[in-house]
Amino acid sequence: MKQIAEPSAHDRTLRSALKSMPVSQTRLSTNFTWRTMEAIHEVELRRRKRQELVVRRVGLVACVIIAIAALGLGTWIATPILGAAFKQDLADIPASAGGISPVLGAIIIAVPVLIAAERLLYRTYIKQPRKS
Amino acid sequence: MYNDMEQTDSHIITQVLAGHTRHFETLVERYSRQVFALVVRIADSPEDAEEITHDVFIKAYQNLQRFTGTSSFSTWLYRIAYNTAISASRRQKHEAVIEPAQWDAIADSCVDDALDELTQQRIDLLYKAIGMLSPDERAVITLYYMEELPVSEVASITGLTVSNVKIRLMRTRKKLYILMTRLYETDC
Repeated sequence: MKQIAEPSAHDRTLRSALKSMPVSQTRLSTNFTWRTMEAIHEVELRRRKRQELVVRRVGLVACVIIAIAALGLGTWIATPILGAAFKQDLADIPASAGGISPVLGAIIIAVPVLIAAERLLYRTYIKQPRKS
Repeated sequence: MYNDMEQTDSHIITQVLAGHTRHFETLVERYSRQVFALVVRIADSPEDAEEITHDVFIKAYQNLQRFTGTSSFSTWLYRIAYNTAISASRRQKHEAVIEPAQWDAIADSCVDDALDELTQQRIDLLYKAIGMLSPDERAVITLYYMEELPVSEVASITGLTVSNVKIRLMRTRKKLYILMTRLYETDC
């Protein structure tokens, strides 16, 4: 295979022409570093906010799934222990409460409590102050 | 083996990735002039060049976790600068077109002599000719002749092979010679 020669590294005219371009005298503005770092801090802030939002959403979904699973598990464990009477009680529940089922009521109370717990845990263990 | 500068760069990068954003300022201070010097020659406008340089550092910060250390930080940063400046200047189309027949008619020795003869008239003609090159061509000659980078590093920055960089440099030199001749004839 034919070896391609490296171009002449001398080319003094070319070097002089490149150096004589007015851009050689052009300088960055004095506040360039400050302006760039301001933009970088904003980028970092946006990235952290996005990350926090993702963590919160995942936490919320996890809480709801755990709450539903806990209710299901509780029912599954309680049914054989309490026997057929418990099944009958569960079946009678909607008719016994004035409009709202106690199971639904328990969920309505449990969800805000779990959300509050999730926020408290998030603030305590996940949300970190900015280091920069 | 890394030298002190590279160790410092990698140390700073580790600090930035650990969450200490303000350490990135050292990298901005250290490389902004070099990046600007390349960008301003590709972009051909100092105002645009400063904005592009600004964007280069923001892109570098956003992609810092992708920096693997296989090349030096400056080469990696130059690659971002080259790509950003080329994309930004694609809109400006004012490069000169050379007929294929003209390439073959020129002997390499003529080009060597023309680009190495240090007279003010030649420098002035060449200066005008450089302005008529495409952004890619200006970038390659800036990296090779101004920044004095080896062909292998120019290849790494531009994403071309070493052979292609050599070919591009040869063709750019020939193109400059043709443009100089044209400009000389126009001036006379």
